[in-house]
Amino acid sequence: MNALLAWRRTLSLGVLGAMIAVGGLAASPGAARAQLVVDINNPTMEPIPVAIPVFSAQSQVPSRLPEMTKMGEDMAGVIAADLERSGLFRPLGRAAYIEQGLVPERRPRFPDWKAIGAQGLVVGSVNFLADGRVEVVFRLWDVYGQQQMTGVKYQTTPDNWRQISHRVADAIYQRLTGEEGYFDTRVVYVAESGSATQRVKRLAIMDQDGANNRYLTDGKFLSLTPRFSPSSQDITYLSYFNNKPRVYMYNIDTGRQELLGDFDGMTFAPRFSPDGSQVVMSLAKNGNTDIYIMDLRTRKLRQLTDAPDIDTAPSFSPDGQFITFESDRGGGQQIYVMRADGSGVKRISFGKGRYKTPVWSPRGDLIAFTFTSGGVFKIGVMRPDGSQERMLTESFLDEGPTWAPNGRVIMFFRGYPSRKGQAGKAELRSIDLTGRNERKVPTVGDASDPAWSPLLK
Amino acid sequence: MRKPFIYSSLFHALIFAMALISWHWFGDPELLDDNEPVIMVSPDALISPDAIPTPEKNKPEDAPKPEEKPPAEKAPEPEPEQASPTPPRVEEAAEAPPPEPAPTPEPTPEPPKPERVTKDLPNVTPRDKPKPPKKFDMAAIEKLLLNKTDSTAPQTKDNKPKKPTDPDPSQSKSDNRNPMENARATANIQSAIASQIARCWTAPVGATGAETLVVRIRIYLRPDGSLSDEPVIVDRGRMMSDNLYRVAAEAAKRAVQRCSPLKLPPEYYDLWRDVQLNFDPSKML
Repeated sequence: MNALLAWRRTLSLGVLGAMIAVGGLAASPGAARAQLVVDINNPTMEPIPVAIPVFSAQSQVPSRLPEMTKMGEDMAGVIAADLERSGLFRPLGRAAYIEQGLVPERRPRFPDWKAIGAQGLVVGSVNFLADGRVEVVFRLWDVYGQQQMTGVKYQTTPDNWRQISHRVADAIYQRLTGEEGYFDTRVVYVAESGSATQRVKRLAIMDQDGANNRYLTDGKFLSLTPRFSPSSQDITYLSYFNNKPRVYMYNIDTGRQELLGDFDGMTFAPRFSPDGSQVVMSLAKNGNTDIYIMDLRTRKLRQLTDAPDIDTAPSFSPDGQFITFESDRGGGQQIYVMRADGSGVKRISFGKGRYKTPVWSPRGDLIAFTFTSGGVFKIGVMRPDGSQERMLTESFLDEGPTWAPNGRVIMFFRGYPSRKGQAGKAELRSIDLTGRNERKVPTVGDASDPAWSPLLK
Repeated sequence: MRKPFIYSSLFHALIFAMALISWHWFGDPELLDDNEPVIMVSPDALISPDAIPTPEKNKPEDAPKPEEKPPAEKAPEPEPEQASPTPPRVEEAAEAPPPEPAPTPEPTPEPPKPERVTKDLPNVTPRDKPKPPKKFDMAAIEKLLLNKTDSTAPQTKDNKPKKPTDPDPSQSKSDNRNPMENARATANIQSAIASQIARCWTAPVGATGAETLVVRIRIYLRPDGSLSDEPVIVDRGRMMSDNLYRVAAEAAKRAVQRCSPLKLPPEYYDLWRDVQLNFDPSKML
């Protein structure tokens, strides 16, 4: 009611102003139109309901039709699961679908989809071609606007069906949210097994939905903190090869591993620069830990920080201009930002507690970090100037944030206390920037220290 | 009568332009042509996405029988919104997609009385003011403002298609409205519209710069609360240039379409026939 009165007042003043403006001219009947202005500022946080019927199957080679039929079902399943996990979409149960037998060549009967509340409708087909490839076609329909929102055709080998499904999900996500998707991505992480005293930690890689898990290292040597190259099939990580902790590179395609420079002291906490040409890392020698940067072509190392404290966990801003890192130069661990050449160091975190492992968002607007205070761990985000700090998660042990390539989902790992010589469980989890959609990420066994890949090319 | 037609034409042209743009975008061979999957996919795999054109709009429907469609009870997941089932009128229109904006039979375009002043229209003069004020007289103006509604209400009746006869009991029942009643009714209508549409509105959560994504949509309503015309996105230019805005605008438009028909008191139709909706997601995070 107050709002209304205020509105009426504005209205009166507005009309008054208008009348003064026309200077007593005769009001012309019909010149203005009645219009009610309504502000709507409380959208539902509900996910968008989408219908994803099984993709229709065809085959130019009749014997492959059953395979295509299964692929059509599986693809719809993978797409629905991707969209559902994002928390932004609600795939509707197929039992409710009224119209059946949809094909991308025909317009759907929109009232049938409105009737079940679908806002988006995904219609797709798979067709086994005579040359042995599979053609996947899909359209996303706006059920209420009754028009196609996007449509893409892919041709690929049949064993690519999962990746194509993720790409379809990405296309839908992008069209309906306006932001790039992140489903056609992978996660490299530390797979853990064994007892608390004999813990085996090796690198593993999987699709972002947990499928296609594969181990990269054999576990003879402790491997930690894997990080993806933004531009190549390389991973940089820390290995205790021969009990000397050093930064290594691993090529996913070839399986080749390589020591990144042989220095006095130990190197750790590596991370690629945004163009993939450099690696920033910590180098500890003579009891001091500073941040260094290595040019991957020349293998030359350059020192960026020089303080008698522990400076570590460096992470580049996406434009390559700045580096955020953690340091205890102020007493406890806090987050700092400096220029990429090491100048202009500025502290950005000031909360009561310790701030660790800052990671710059791929879209540049936020820095994610681990916060710990009073025996509780949290994953939080703040702007690069330290403002708008927000905590997203909280538990006994939440650590190691990594960003989805679109910068709106963070993956991290959660540890649980160990008991009676039993190692504490560790699992990967993801959380939306809104803090509302926390999910466990499926892994084969215990898992920690995830790193999200860029979108696959 | 012309304005909605122009809006509608512009809007259709826009849709067409958007279709062209997205078509090209997906057709861009540089984007994905050389996409070699990396591992765990066969090395010779070639992924070549092509844009696919929309099926003909005028193509005869295979099963054009919207009337036989089982109603909502067949759906095991009924939407909580009572607005979900679309009125048959709208569906019929949907079944026969007119390539051109169909001229609406509604006389909506020429609303006879300016009840409210839009923020957009700075120069608004009360219209059925019979005598122009000769000099500045606050009291006279106030009086004028307050009387205006009453004097126009009967007019509305004359010009309008007949209203549904059973008025919503929850609302004020009288046709002879005094200013206070009008004010109350306006407030009630505003909140009724806001709450109904908010329930249909799923906003782009966490979008970059969501706070700037205020979408203004103008809608014209029939006396039964259904849309008499396609909702008009006021800031159409931005649809072309700003992808996030376009998504936000589409989401807002879907909310309006999804919530049609709105449940509003028919006896106040003159107050809500022409509405501007401001969708502001900035408070979401």
